[in-house]
Amino acid sequence: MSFMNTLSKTKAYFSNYITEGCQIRYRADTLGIFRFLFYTLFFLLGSYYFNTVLILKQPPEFFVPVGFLMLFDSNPFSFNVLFTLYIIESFFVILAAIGLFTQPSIIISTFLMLIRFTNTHSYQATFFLSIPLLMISFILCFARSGDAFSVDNLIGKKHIPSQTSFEYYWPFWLSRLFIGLVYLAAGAVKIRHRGTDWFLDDELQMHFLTAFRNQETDVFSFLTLDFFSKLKLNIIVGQYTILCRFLGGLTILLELFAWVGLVVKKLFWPIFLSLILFHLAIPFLMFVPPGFPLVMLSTWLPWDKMNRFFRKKQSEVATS
Amino acid sequence: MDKECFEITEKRKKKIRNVFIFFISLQLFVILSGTDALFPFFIYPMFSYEVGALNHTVFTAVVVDENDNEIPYIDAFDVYPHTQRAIGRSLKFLVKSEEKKKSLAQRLLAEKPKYKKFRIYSVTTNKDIYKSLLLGETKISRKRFQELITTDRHVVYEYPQQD
Repeated sequence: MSFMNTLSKTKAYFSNYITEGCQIRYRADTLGIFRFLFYTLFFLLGSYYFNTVLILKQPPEFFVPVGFLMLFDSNPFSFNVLFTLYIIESFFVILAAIGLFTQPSIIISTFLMLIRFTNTHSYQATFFLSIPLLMISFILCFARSGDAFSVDNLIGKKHIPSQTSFEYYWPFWLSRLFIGLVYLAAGAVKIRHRGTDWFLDDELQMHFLTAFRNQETDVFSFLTLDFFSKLKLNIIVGQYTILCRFLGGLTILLELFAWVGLVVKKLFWPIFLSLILFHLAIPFLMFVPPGFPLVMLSTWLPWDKMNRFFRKKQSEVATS
Repeated sequence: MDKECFEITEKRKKKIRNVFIFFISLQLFVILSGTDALFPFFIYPMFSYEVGALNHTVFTAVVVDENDNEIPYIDAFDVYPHTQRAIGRSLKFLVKSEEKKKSLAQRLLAEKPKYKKFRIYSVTTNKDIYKSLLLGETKISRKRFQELITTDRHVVYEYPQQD
């Protein structure tokens, strides 16, 4: 009986999630602001990871084809090709950020990102956590994010920033759902590959103990990770097997059930804040920079409410 | 002004629905199938952090100076697990040791641009030895590591390569 109750409750939660989602209307400028911030941060983080100074120092062996590039006689993505692609991509990312020829710019930059990110073995300049951001960019390819807060709209004046529509909400909805599933996949793949060992054995402990930071590879490492690596918290926490197991279990739980926060309203904030804490703890324990995951998680924020709140504040200041 | 609202057309609704279906099914497919085999170059990198199996023959690197003397440098040891993780991404489909060497060499070249020369050894170890090395990092690891790599190892790659 209780099982049936849970089942019907779950069903109700899901149907409520879909019905409510279809009715939500966001302002045009909310999506515009998100697009602007997303591509600006992407540009900044992208330049962080495309470490040209380092790549320029590499000998020809660095560009030996690996992975699927083995199909070619020599690596088609030499430094010059990669660098040119990166410059073109950055140009279009800036255009996408300011909203000039918005949709074509987003499509071109996404395509170039795809080429760049799929060659992680060819050069040490990308980061696996950038993939979800690429997917968000993919979603924006189909969205009308240039309707407001963009140069396009300033020139054309076709759209009113305050107009609301489901059109401006669905990219957020899909991104949130997608990120929820990314966490689920991350949890599932841990269980699939390592089973319960990931939290009952010493998998995470080994991750902590083997984490290390090479300061030479980061041009801007002084900003963040040097500080974390000097603390050596990973070595301190890594001494305690029980604590590592507990953290491992917590991680798996959080990753497997992150999506629940999207469906069950009551659980949204606890899960969202836990995820933020989770990403903020990782730099201390594994030296993985939190930039990309936090940008990725930013889709979960109530963007429309924030937009309205700041506009209200602005108008209050203007009237006073 | 705030109340201005427009409804989307049926055609647009269909398009959005298709985008939803595409993304969600792609992600579910990734979860339910062996991602690494099917999307090794694109989707897989985001799930690469579960690799940590250390109970195998592994590769490690030692830096040598101009006169061919080995530098007992702890970072050379530290490079290995990081590299192992990077290689782990491709363990499923790049099973040849040749590939691992190449990846490790590339990683090393990338991370240690100041090293003019290095060698990659295959070292047989097990998780317990490795873990004890790690836990005693500040006290005995350097010595024990040196012992380990000098008793049971063989060169698999050298940079620059000798003809």
